[in-house]
Amino acid sequence: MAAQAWPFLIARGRQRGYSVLLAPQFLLAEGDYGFLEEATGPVPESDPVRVGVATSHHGRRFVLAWSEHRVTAADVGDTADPRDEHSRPLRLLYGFLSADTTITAPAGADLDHARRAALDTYRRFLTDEHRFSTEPSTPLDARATEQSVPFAARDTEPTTLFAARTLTPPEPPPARRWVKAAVISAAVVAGAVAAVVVAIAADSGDPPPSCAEDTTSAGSTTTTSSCGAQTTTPAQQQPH
Amino acid sequence: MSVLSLVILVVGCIVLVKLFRKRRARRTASRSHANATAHVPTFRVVALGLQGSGKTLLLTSIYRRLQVPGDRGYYLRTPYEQLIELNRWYQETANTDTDWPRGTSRGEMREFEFSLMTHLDDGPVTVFNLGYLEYPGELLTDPEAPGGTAQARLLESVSTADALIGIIDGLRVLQTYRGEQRGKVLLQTTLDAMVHTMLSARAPLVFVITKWDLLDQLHADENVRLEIVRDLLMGVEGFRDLVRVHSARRVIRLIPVTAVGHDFAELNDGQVRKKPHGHFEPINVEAALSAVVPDILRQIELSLDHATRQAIMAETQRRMRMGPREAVRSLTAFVAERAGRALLAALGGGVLGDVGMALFLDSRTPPVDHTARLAALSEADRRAEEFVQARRRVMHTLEHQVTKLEASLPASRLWG
Repeated sequence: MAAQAWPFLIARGRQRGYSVLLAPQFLLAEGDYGFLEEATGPVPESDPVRVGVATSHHGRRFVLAWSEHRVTAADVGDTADPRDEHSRPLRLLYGFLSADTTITAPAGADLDHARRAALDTYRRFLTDEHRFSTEPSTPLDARATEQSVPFAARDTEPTTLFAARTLTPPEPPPARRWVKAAVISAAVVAGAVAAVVVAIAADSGDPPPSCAEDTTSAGSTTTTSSCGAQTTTPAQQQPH
Repeated sequence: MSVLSLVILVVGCIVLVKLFRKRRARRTASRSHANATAHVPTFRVVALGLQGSGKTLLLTSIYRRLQVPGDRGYYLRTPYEQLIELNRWYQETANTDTDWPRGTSRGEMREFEFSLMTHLDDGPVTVFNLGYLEYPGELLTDPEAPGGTAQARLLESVSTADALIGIIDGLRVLQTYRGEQRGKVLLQTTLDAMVHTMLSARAPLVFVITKWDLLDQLHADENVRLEIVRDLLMGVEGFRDLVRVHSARRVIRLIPVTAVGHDFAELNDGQVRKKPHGHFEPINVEAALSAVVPDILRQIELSLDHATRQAIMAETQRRMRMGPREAVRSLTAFVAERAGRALLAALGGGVLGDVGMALFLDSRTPPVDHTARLAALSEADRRAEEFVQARRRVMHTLEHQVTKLEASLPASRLWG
């Protein structure tokens, strides 16, 4: 299935900095092509084609597929590879965009088509950089379903600069710590109480009763189990 | 209840109380240390320079030089993905078999984040963070394509920056010195862009001459060479006015740097080419960064009136005799006073807040031997105190580096 796509080109000249040199006619007419410069970037040799979704200033979403090409002497009919006035090689960021956001893998032939269109534009740009105006591109039928070129999708939204200037307040200690502290404290208190009770029992000098054994003393009935539980109830009143 | 029972009960209570106290001390110590280390101020820096002026190479070389402590006692750390990018640029630059790195495009515009680290006995701590904006220089001179947002974002970043570094391309200075028209035009464009963005800026300024190695031929003596460049720049009306306006209350420096060294590249037929066996050795690149934070603090001091400065000096002296917790209490009380409020306002209120104020007061305090004082502190307080002392050492090292540069190159002070 073919989807309509438009070639684009972003490049710098010998003197001029990076700018959009080729863009779809409808974006030029609406003054909505600045996002192309911000959504694209250099392409590493290990990952020669990039695909990403970008939103224009007017809010339209496009799929961009692009690659990078170092301009050679043959490209511009020169004897040596051209450089800018800062001694850097010249590079093209070329590709195509489509409103069909289901495109995930550009066909190599489509990128070749876009590169040819980009080089034609670039040659005209180099002849008079400062008077050059962005050219409109003619659409091509992108063979979107071909998987002939590896790609890496990425989010192409521009990054936020200097966004957060306030210092982050310290995070409150997690509630779990309080729970842990309470459990430890309760265990220590319980341990201390138990220790006192055991000490009192030991101090009485009587042998410890068995778990189920009842003992009766004057005024009250105390039931003590060897398991540690102890209950005291008032003694039954004796009739005179 | 026997005596034994009472003894057990009392011992239990004592154990409970001790446990509670220990826990509270630990929590307080943790808070004390957190107060000292968790709030790390961030200073944002924007280097203003045209395309090809060397902003990216400067950034690369700064990190290359400062990624290890050396004899400075501090070093830089950056997130791993940014480290990879910086290393890639370094390899492209230092490899004599490859071309210079490609220029920065709008799609690569972003802020590099550096943490300035120092070491305590038990590990590294962050003294402050630095943000350094990387962007394509044409944003300063070329019109923005319709629908673009990069230029507006750059201007917003410039207006909120804590310090501005003006990048002056040494090659354009050389061309101007030789009377070459294209160089003159580009230098004028550079200075015009700086005048426009810096004249109304409140942040401290520092100017950097990049590609200093290309200017070696001007004179054998480096300071004389710098004087020649300074005179040439001060002969440009807009630049002279910019320096004059800011000199009244700001520190204005002109720092010569070479991001590749004096034996790495050469100028042939208007093209700067790497020497086949060039030796890569950046020089002075860290000086611009070293000047930034002390200059921010110095400017704050200059913006305060005499009485406020006196009060701050008194507070600084008091803080030298305090432990960390007492220092925090004292800082809180100081903020409530007139001088404290004035200082806080000069620091930008909520931007840097009390952390910036502590850093400022530390920078005014000379580092002294605190061994005896440390011995008297608890372990937690000692940790916090070590951090404060380490922070002071870093601030004084930064200032010392700038002082050293001024001593060897007096012409680096633009206003005197």
